[in-house]
Amino acid sequence: MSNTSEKSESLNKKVFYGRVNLESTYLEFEDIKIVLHEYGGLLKYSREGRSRVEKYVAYSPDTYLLINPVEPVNLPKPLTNFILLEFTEPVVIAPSSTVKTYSTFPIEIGVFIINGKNSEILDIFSLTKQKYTLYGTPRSGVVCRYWQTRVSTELPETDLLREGVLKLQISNNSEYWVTINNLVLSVNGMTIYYDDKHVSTSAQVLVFSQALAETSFTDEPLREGMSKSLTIRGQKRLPIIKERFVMEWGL
Amino acid sequence: MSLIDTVIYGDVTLRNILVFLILMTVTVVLAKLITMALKRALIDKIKRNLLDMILKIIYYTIIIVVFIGSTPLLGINLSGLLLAGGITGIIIGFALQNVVANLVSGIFLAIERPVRIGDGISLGSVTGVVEDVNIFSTIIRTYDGLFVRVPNSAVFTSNITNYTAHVARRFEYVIGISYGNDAKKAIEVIKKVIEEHPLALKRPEPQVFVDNLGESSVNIIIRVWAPSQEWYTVKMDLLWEIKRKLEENGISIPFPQRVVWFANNLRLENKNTDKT
Repeated sequence: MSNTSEKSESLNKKVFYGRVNLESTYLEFEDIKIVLHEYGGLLKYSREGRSRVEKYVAYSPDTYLLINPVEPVNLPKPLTNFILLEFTEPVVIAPSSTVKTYSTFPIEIGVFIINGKNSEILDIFSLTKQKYTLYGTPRSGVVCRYWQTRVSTELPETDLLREGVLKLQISNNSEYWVTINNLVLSVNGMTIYYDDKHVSTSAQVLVFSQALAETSFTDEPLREGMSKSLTIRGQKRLPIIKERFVMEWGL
Repeated sequence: MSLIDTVIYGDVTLRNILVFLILMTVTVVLAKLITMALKRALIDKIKRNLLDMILKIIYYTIIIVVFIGSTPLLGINLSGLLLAGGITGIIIGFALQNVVANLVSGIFLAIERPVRIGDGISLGSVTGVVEDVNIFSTIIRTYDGLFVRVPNSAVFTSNITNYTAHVARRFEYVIGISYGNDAKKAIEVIKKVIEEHPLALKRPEPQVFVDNLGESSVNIIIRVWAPSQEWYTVKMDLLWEIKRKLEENGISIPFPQRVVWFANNLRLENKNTDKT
């Protein structure tokens, strides 16, 4: 089993992110159970609990599974590339100043099958409730995965099967005070890191006015030694796809 | 002089015509190979309708460029063609009036883009999904799977309702509850069901309120926004779930009923038809 499958000290929970060798194995993610079972030369992958998935994998000896957190926009079906974080308490920022804060973001759990440099997503599941919302107008806005979160200056305690820590740098480039109630980020540039204590990502926000800001994910782990997640969009991403998002319908 | 150098007309020989035909065949095959390779490489990276349009542009651009470049082989002087174009254009215009009308409409549709491939639309009496927007016609697959070809001039001049042009759309239910039930509790139950559905959008906020006091029921209006491409699924999911949860909470959805008062007392007769 994985090198990160240890007991999480903070939540006393066994975590199964990391590499899983292809042999008969039983994994539990709370009420979700994954069973790997060799069946007539094929590997049978089955997941039970909440919903049921069964797949057969024809594999070579150097094939393995990787289970890690992925972008939270794939369930119940891929509809969008955006997440909207609504702050429970608005953040007020002084003119021409920068603040560094922490908040949280939802995660989904991806099961990849890997052979050499080739990887393919086998299954995605989640322990968090999915909810979507609209940012902007019905005519030209964007549908986003919705997540409500607190903002704090200290590292928040998180349930690493459900949520990750978002390290956030907000720069107010305007000459006025601005109040931030929510942020919209494009997951196209999202890089997720994990270890046995936290799942994390980082982002920056450049505020130009109360109605306009630019957001983007940055590639920075929470601390040294964290593993980089294999993400769904990361596999398919074209370098020409824009990774920044301009929030033009207010903050 | 060999057969291949036989002059067909002007300076154009059989060799020229064969070279032109081979060149165009190779170009068409090459254009197809290029677009197929691009499709394979980009199919999971670009939206399907955008990809189809890009591939179509690339395909026709390759063919048109090679065609224009190789017309001297056929002895066609494009500048001469332009001069003769005035009169020829008028003749062709009359002869191909409908074709030209469809072509021009197709160009305007490509500029205005009221419909795109994959959109759910209603056009006159046809309702379905746009499968293709060609130069002369628009192909629609109706929801019951029929192929409908609509000439572009008809598309251009018709009223088009595009169900998926906007990011989100709203749907509505009216649910009647019994006069004996608590409408406030019913509204709470309905709001909770909507909140639990992932694709019933958080914002714009759903609206649930008592709309009117009907003959047999207190009528509650429910308005929910959903992503345009999923609104019908959400609509189907929610209605039954709302009915189930209301019943679970002891709230009944009454049948139409009418209380009838008689001026005189009714005399009931028990007719026993069994004769023993």
